[in-house]
Amino acid sequence: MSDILASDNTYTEEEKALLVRLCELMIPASENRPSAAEPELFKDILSRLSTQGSVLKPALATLAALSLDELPASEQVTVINQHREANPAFFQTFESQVIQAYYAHSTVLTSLGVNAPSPYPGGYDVQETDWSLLNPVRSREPFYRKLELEE
Amino acid sequence: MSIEPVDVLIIGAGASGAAVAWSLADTRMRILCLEQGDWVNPTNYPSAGPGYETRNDFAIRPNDRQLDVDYPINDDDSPVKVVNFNGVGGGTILYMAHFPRFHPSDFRTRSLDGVGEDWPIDYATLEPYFAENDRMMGVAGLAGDPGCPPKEMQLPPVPLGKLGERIAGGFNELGWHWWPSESAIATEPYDGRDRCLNLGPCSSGCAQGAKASTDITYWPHAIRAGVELRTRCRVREITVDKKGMATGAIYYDEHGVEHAQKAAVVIVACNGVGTPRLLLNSVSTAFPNGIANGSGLVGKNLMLHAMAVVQGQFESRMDGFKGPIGCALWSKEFYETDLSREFKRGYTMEIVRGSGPTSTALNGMMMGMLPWGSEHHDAFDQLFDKAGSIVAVGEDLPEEHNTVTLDTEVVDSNGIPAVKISYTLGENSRKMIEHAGERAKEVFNAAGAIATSPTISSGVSSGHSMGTARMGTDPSRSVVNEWGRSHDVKNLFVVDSSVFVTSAGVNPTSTLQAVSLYIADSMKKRLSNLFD
Repeated sequence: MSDILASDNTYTEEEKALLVRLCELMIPASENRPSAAEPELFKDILSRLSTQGSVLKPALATLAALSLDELPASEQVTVINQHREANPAFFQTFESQVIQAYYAHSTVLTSLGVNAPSPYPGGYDVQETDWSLLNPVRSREPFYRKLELEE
Repeated sequence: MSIEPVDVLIIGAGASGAAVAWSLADTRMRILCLEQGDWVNPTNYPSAGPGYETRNDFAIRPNDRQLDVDYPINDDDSPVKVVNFNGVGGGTILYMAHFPRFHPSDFRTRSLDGVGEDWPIDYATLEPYFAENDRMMGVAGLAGDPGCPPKEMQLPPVPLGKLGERIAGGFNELGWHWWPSESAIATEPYDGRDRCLNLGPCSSGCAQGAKASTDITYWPHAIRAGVELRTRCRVREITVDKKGMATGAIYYDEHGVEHAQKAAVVIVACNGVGTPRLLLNSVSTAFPNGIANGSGLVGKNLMLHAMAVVQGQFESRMDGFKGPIGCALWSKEFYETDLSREFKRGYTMEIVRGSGPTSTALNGMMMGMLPWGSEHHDAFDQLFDKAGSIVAVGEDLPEEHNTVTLDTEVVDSNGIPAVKISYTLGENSRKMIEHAGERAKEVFNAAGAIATSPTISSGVSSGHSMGTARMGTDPSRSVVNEWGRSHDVKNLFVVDSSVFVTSAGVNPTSTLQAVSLYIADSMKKRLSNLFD
């Protein structure tokens, strides 16, 4: 953790530890996708959050007082959500930044079949179109309004 | 960089400025274009790098971008938000390249349906210019659409993809018209540009160069023909002499230094918001209410399009992030006026492909559909790549109370007043939106969607700003004449969608470029008596 956090001075060590925990709770690992708390991902997330200290720190103090680690994981999320209404700016900012980092990460993109790190230059193949779908429409007479008939 | 007088000064290097510059180049007149923004380097487009979905520097709304080349736009009082791009290419840098033409009836709404006004020109007059513009931009499509007048396509249509075919099936189930979109996208190599790679996010710029933006279509040809394009030059006002003729413009260069550029002819090409802004800010003794504003109509009759958006959710992945996001298929089923409906005129339904992962997740989180914890990934998988949208572009009627005015309390980085948009959807538009939303849901249901969203019509962005310097033969009811010349200032022309009399139910770029070419040609035919 010290490697990840060395360049960031916005948050205390305790606050950073709590942010890691929150990332893990928000997006845990699955069979083929990483947790948002994985070091490489969290480094991106923390970089984004480093400019949001004034928004996040007050709520972090509140959440730190909850002693989340003493609760089962499933209850931790429930308890956190109980503080959503009182801390809208925290949740909006934290969730937005975590998502923007997580769903732009190459590992996550690759798991979704999306080009990583960017669409270009690889591009995508789109299936050949079955133009016989147009047959019902081709049989229609032109129906745009022709002014010659009106005047 | 010369500050010698020029024959023609064009203000704005976007869709219309590029077209008129190219057309006038063959006169061999000395032509200068001033553009407040800069050239875009394709390697800077978001789709060429990580985090492409959330880059603010290519956000479609200038209020989100807040670059130094942007000017503030107060659109708080408008349900439709203003979209633009300030740079070489203008709005074509960020548009989705949908390229329909106005219909013949769009030029005769007063005569045919008793609403709006008639244009002083018609589709037949513009037809050769539509064709010329299509050749310059390169239009991909399929001939034979019964919903539109016949035309030639340069390129095969963009592929529908899994999502497009599914939705096409829905239209077929209902017996409604649909057709592959006409798109200014090179589906095969064209005019030195390589073919589309189906990257997806056309609306943040095309890193491949397949999408036809004027920085890579018209401008290379115009510059080779001798047109000078000067970037980072923000025009503050158009100047006039004691006789009421335009003499050129005052502009700030990239260092903020003021310059006076003299010109024999001034052509304004700054879009439906930027053009009235410039005209209203060009105040003089001769024109205390802004240059060319003898009618009082500069900035009025703003049309932004009535937009209705419905999202449909499917049970399986649709490959919606593959392919040009805004171009797949469209429907003209409800385009022309049908007196059995509660509104006049109509709309085009346009299918928009799916969002990328970040956009899907952000939207899902906002909608409360993406929980924290062990259910997060399954919930995301239910959302991602299983949705598409139908966007109905509805004809907006010209109403004088819909306006672009100067916001003198807010200025841009050069101290030039910002703009305020005052806009409300009229009764006709509201009924049209309601109708379009319900029809879109019918299409999705017929296509087998498992859910549809409510109709969204507020907070949408259209990027279509029209009508604020409209053309006409009556100087008391229009700003420019039937070939784009100001009624009040005989050497001042407007060529962008400000001159539109009606908005039609389609994206405006094809038509505004055709109008620009028509105006340029009209000027060329009258060079010996241009100011008479």
